[in-house]
Amino acid sequence: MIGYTCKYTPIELLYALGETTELLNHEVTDFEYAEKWTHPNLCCHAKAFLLHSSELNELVLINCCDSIRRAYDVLLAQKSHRFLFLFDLPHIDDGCGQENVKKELVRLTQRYIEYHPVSFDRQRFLKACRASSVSSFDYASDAFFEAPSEATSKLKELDSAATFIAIVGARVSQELLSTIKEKVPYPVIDATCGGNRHLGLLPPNAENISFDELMDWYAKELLHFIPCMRMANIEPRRALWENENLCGIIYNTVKFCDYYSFDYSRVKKEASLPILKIESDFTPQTEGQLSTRLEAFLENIQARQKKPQKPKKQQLRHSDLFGGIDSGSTTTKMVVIDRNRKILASSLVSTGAQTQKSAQKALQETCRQLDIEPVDLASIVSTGYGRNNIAFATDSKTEITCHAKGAFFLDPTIRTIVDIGGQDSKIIRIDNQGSVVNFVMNDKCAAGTGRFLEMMARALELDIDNMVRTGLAWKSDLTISSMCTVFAESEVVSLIADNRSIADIVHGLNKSIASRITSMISRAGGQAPYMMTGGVARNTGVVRELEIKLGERLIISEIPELCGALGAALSALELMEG
Amino acid sequence: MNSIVHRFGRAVSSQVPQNPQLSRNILAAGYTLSGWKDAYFGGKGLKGVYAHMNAAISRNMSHSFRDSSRSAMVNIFFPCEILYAMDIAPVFPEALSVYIVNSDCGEVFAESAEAIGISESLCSYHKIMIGTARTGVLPKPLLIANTTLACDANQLSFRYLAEEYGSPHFIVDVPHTVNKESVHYVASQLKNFTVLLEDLLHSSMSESKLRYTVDRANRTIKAYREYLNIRARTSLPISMTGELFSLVATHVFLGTPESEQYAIAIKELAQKASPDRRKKRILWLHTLPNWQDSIRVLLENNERTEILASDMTYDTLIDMDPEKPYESMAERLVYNINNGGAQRRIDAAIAYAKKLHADGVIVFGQWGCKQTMGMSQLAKMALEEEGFPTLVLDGDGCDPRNVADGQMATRVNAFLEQLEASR
Ligand code: SF4
Ligand code: SF4
Ligand code: SF4
Repeated sequence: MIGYTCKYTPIELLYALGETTELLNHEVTDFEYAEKWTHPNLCCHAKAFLLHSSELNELVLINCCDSIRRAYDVLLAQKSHRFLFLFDLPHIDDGCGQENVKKELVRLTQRYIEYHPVSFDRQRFLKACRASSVSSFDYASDAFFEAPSEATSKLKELDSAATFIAIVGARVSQELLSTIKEKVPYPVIDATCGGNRHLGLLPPNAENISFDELMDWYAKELLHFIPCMRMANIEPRRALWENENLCGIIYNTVKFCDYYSFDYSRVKKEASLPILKIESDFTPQTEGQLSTRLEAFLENIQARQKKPQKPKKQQLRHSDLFGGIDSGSTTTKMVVIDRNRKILASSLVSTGAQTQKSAQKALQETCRQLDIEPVDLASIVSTGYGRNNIAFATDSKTEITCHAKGAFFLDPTIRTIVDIGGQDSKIIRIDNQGSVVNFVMNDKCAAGTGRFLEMMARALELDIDNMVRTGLAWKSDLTISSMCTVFAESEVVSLIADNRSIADIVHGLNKSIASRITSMISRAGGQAPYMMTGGVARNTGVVRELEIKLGERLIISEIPELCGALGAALSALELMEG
Repeated sequence: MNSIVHRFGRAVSSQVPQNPQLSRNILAAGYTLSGWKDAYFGGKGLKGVYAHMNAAISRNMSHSFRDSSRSAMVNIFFPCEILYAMDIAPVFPEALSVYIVNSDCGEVFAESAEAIGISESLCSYHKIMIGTARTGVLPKPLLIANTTLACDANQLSFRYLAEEYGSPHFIVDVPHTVNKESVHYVASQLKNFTVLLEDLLHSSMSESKLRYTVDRANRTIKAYREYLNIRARTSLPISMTGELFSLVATHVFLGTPESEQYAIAIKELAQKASPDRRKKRILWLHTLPNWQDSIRVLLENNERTEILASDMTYDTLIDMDPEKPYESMAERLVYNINNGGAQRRIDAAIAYAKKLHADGVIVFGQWGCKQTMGMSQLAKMALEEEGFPTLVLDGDGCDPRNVADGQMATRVNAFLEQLEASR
């Protein structure tokens, strides 16, 4: 069994040499092993691969990128593989490039035969090539070579599907791919490094021509795959997003992979489809994170109508009150409105260890204000991080949709919502109907969230309110250059040691968070007028710096924290109005 | 960093968003004056040699900001002899980014690149270069050309810039396989490059001028090689900035009179210098963070230690044959120690550590440079096996935002103490 990682691997040739192949594209739980041999900043796939590579004795790698080349160097030094081959793929796809690919094909064949005396089986080669000329997107496996009819039927299935979703970008792990396939009610194709290979038709005299000529044809076909970002000419990549049956693109990026961040900006510019960008790192994804994003994406392509989620409880009552509850990671908020969209009550409690409990508390508090019972609410929509754990909610919507709805209701002139919450921040762009056009979320990393400020306040031994007040009195302009929370913290500590005033440091921190947010805004293509929501909107220091950076005033409503809950309440009303 | 530089940087940064033309002019003026780093000026000995190189690079910078129609944007490994033979000046990201960070205005450019989604983990040299182009500060060059040696960043950022500017783009594909066939493949691409240049300039390449340029490059390489031989026995107070000058002299500037003069002058200085047994001798792998005062204090101009060489300066000091200019240039790419697997670079490090009598080695993990960071542990294992204590030092040669300054200084200091203890 030969392990490989890249679609350019000549697996048909390996099959002809009597071998079976396996795509090594799996996740790992940690990178300890790889980091011992390389460096934490190597791409996460290469690091995961280093661990999995030991499962097989034979490997064929493609000279893809710096990370893979270094992973190969490590394996070479470890001398632990019986057969280890690095295929030197050119960057150029012209005649010279083909010539080089062919030389590599011949070299691989020779090396393999030296290692394991077999001969090239032409019939097996032709069979595999035929299979690969019908299956294009799903990764070609030996099963396909053995039973090409299966491949054909899969392709037909794809052809007959009215619409499908493509995963484009950096390689998607097999685990992530299956999770996405499970969650998405459309056929999903993998157009990243593991799939997306398609050979053309065999030459008519394929049975008779010499091995050399056959390899000429094969080299040409390999270089005619839809190119990845490694290749010099990337124009043909358009085919990936210009398919008319495509209804949405999931754009995958891999942490510490540089190739695809360049591609993403282009795809975003050129493709007029809903695009969801996901950041993966070859470790198991947090289900919640992924679900929120996928749901928002599907809402965006109106997939929800096609695969309606069952309402959680049939407890709808006909009354005039509608609730929205926003279960965030730090606080839980609830808003109740009437049929005229007037806010009647609201509450804000901190989210404890149990989402459900805090939600109950928020519900009781609003009911107390109105002197009603929870059952008097006609419907309740939940949103936020914990939205799926709230038993009393009639339905749930993502925070993207709810924030957009709430903010648009508060001020229909706004086009961009800047929501800076305790644990995450998001930028949402809407059009003049209030529909979401694009959004960017920041998670995992604390920089650019309320949490960053909290951690810094701790380093300064201040509480948040004090920090805001102190920061306004700054005198000399100082820059905190580190973006990473850990670095920033040590920078703050050394500034304190340097006797810089606390006010100046706080101002520096405010600037740093503002610049982080500004870059998210430009990534989302933000446009004025802006509304800022979330708890940090009350932090005048940050708001001021952000306004300076943007050169625009930020609209801040009287209830910046309640925007998501308000949006959810509006959704609850819409639910009843049908 | 001194306050004049700081003010200069602020003047540039503040003009970038609204007025790229103005900040371009400020930068050009700054580089023309090029006297602001007065530490290198007017001095004798090594300082004087550095001053000349600094002036030459500054002229090159200000030229690229002023008259870009005769400049080509290239990566550091691109064989520029072809350009000089056609009177075209190169602009290259390492120098650009280093000069910009030393003018204290790098942040605005790096952020501008990140704002369009360029990953934060991209090599900062390239990120800042993209920023200067995107903000409109760096004007459109005549053409853009890069080799695929030694890293992916070349492939990505130059292609992006070519699209952004709408400039002609040429890629020299350097195979990973180190052999004669690869040399032929690269040589034929370099010939095609000349044809492209001839078309763009409506003039033809003078073969004799090319031979002349390659001959000068060859003399420079010889002189620099001799310098390193002598360096094995002597001590010189070279600085990090100085090593970057050497890098430029043995790469993009190769073929210019300035680079030849530089190599000869530094060789003559080494001949006159004497050994200094007290100092710990450090071989450095990769680029150097010359903006970082805390590290400079530890490694430059002191009684404790000296840097011997950065391995980027000796990556291909092989003879060139003026009668076969294209093959010679191609050989320098294919046989470069950065090509063909980490082991070649590690072997070269071991050979030079022995030859230069190094006491220890620092592998500089430049932010975003996967090819150096990826081999850092292998290099450490191999070098230590040969008896050279090795420090893997992560940092950034041009973007202070990615650096934990205090921590870095502590690590270097501890390493020096380690070397001293083993005396
Ligand atoms: S980027 Fe290209 S060469 Fe690299 S693994 Fe993916 S398909 Fe293969
Ligand atoms: S994910 Fe990116 S960096 Fe990693 S192996 Fe693939 S192309 Fe290389
Ligand atoms: S530092 Fe590394 S990644 Fe950056 S340009 Fe140089 S070789 Fe490439």
